[in-house]
Amino acid sequence: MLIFLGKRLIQALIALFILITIVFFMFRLLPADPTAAMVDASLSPETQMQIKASFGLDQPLYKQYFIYLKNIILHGDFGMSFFYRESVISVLASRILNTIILGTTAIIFAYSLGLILGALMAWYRGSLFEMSSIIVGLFFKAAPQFWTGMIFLMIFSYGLGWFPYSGIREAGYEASGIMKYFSMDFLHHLILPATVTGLYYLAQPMLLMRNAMLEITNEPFIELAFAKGLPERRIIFYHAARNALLPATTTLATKMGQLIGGIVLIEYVFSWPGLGREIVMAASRYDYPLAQASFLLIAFVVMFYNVLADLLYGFLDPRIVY
Amino acid sequence: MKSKKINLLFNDPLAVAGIIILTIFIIIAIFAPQIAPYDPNEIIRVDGKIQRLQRPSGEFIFGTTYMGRDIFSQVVIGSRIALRVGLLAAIFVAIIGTAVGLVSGYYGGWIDTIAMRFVDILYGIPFIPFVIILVSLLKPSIWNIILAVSILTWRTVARIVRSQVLSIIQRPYIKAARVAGASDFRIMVFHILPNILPLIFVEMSFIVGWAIISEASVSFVGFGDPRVVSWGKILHTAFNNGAVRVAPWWVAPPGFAIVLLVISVFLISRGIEQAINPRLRDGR
Amino acid sequence: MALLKVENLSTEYDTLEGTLKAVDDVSFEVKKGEALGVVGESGCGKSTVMKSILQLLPRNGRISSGKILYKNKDITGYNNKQLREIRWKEISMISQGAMNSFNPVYNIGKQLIEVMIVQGNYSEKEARDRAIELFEIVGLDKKRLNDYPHQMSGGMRQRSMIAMSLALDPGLIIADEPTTALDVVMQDRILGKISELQKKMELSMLFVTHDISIIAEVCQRLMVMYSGKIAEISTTHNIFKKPYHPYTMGLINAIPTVVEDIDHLVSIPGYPPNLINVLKGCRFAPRCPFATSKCRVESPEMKLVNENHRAACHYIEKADEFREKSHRTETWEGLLV
Ligand SMILES: Nc1ncnc2c1ncn2[C@@H]1O[C@H](COP(=O)(O)OP(=O)(O)OP(=O)(O)O)[C@@H](O)[C@H]1O
Ligand SMILES: [Mg+2]
Repeated sequence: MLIFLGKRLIQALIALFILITIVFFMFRLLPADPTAAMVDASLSPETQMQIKASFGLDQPLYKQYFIYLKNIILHGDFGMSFFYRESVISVLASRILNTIILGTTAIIFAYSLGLILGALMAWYRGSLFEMSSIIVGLFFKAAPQFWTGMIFLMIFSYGLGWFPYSGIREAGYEASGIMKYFSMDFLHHLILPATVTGLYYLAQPMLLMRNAMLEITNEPFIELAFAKGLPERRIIFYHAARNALLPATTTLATKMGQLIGGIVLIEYVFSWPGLGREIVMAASRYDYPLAQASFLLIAFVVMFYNVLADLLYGFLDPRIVY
Repeated sequence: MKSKKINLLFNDPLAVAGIIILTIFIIIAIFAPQIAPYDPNEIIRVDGKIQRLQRPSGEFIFGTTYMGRDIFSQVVIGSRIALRVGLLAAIFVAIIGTAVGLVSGYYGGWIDTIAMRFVDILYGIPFIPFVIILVSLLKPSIWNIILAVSILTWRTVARIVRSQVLSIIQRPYIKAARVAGASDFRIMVFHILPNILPLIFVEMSFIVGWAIISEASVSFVGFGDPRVVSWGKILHTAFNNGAVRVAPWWVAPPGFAIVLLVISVFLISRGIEQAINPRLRDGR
Repeated sequence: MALLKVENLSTEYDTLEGTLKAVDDVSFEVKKGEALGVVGESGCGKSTVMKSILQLLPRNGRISSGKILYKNKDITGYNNKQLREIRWKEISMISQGAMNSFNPVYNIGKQLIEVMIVQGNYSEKEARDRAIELFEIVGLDKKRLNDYPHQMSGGMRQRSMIAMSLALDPGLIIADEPTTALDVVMQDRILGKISELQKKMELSMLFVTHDISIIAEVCQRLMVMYSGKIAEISTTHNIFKKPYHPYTMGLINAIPTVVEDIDHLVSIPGYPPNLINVLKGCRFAPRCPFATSKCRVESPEMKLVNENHRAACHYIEKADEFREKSHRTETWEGLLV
């Protein structure tokens, strides 16, 4: 188990390292002015020179690469944001948590709803309930999440006035540190974006669960559970669904990766101050250090969830030995 | 054998619905300039007055934008970009993914290891952020969006093709072909590829939908090609002009167009999948 | 008094080809403290009878007519709630697929205790003590309670299954081919165990098998089924000594040890008939060496041979002659031409 975890972590670290490298070359080679990636063109020439020197931009590319690596790995230093004029890390520190909270809530919503619906769909196969669940799932899968977001804003925020339409807390609402995440106000802001994101990812766990459940319902142990006289609800969830969980949950990791990647759009629509929105803003302001760091951090979050998901499988299926 | 499978596809009502919807979109795209009553960028004035935010009516089927442009015409013209992006991305992705998957699965060994590790790494790259960054570094254009989407998306095709190849090369006739002295290239292209082609089609139709949504997403956050009208860009402009608050007719049509088109390719892909995999067909 | 009385039970399955009559007009009873064996070739409807009793038929199956009286109450019309009062508390089962009858994601102890807590109102502690006691009865180490099904051998799983079937002191235990999936040595041991428990605890049992040689060891009475119908039913002793139905004769003939003076063993040639388009006449007729034209058109009634022996054959009065001939290989082989 520990060995497995170790291996998995090393793999993730190698992947991260390669990604850092790819990002380095992307930002150095693609733009017309390679120094634009690190130096704010609006600064005075002297300051520009100074910064260039500190990032080694006057050096050959391979040396720059090592300086870049050293800065990131040893000091966690991604440079200065052109726009905010402070270190990228301090800009992003608060964004990371916002993104993780939104993403985690959304995926939990998608999977708990999807798994329950999928289980019931299989159990009551051929019913109207099954048909309508499929249609709903397919619709939200085919609709771009930002559009669903706009529609939901239109209906639930502007139309019915149930939810706030942007941001993460009401103006004037102040709470410090971690406490700000434990307020009704925050929750109120979280519901709509998390629901919209969750609906987009609903279809896959739902359908996988349904298919796995269909197979499980023919297993002898389900017949035995009936013979034991257990209540139907217990048979559906405790016996059948529990066994059908695995195929759907093995997709959790890649879905979480996709979700965190796609969260850009939701954060944009709902003005959610997370990494994704920051990427869009940074890229449109040509704030390359910030864009680059947001991108790497998002990739980092994705990998973190991948490792987490692998551990989850072992927990779900006692037959898996690492 | 082939035609039987195609028959199966046409016997599946959902797949047929998908094919019909897609065909309608293709026709609309081809005749877009004839169908659209206005130039999508034209600022429409009546008696010198700009027709801002007009509700849907006989004159403006989907209403007008804040700048007084006809939304119906924009949606009609937008179908061209959606289809172009979808189809081209799917073709590129299929070509790259199939090539890598074939070679990787066929030769195995270190080629396979390297290719698959690389695919693993690609899987770790967040998709939309990557596309946004690449497009903004290269400057926004349709081609750059297609490029960015293709660079990441071939990973799925490569994996699927490889796993298929691994099982197909075990079959006796492949071994026979080898003994008969067929070249590696010949075996891959003439003996293995035809077997996985249907599966590649399934994947391609998914990618069409995926690419359409991606283009819309990237355009929506402001990195669309400035020279063209696409559904994502209509929504971008709508969002920035507060249409969510004041003009639902501006928001709904382009979105429904995307939903319909994407559902149609989903249905087609599902139809092909069931036609080639009898187990799915009978066993619900 | 009969504990379980099945009267004119018929059970059908809907299939793509039409309605399949898996059980056709079957009547029998199980008395308190006795084990009734049910024998017949694969597909003759044994499991269907058992599933009908517990009403565990799959979606496409249904009881089309007949009564199932348990302790004199007809349980065929019971709703889910009433059925839950019967299931496991009154009638438990050791199922055919016992190898896969445990839920793979919970340990055996949990599954044993579950039924006691949910169905038997045991407290957690009582249930655990009872589980240990049950494991002792079936000869398993209590440490094994923490094993997951995949960590146990087939034999151990089957023992656990027996333990579970005893958990709530049911009135009747249905054992549907409890040993088919095991190797021969293990089969003997498990059978020994079941038989020992049955006699010691005076269990009422329905014991299903397609291997008639097993019955002698375990069951006091025996019912032979052929193609959805009862061919013959009586005490084990009677049937082995004097079978009246040619099918039973054939089955007994195929056992190595019981009849010694035959040339060599013969199993009955041919296959059981299709159950969707049932032929008229006796269903065994196409394979019966003694069949006459009457057999091919007229379905035989159940006939009383004596007080507790019934057989469904037109010619029970010729049974002595048939029995004699049935020992000869040619009798059966002649059928092939
Ligand atoms: N779910 C079902 N749907 C349709 N037909 C079925 C179903 N289950 C059983 N049958 C059919 O009903 C008949 C009786 O089956 P059953 O399982 O009761 O036989 P069995 O005597 O228990 O055989 P075995 O020794 O193989 O367990 C068979 O012809 C079988 O094909
Ligand atoms: Mg059976």
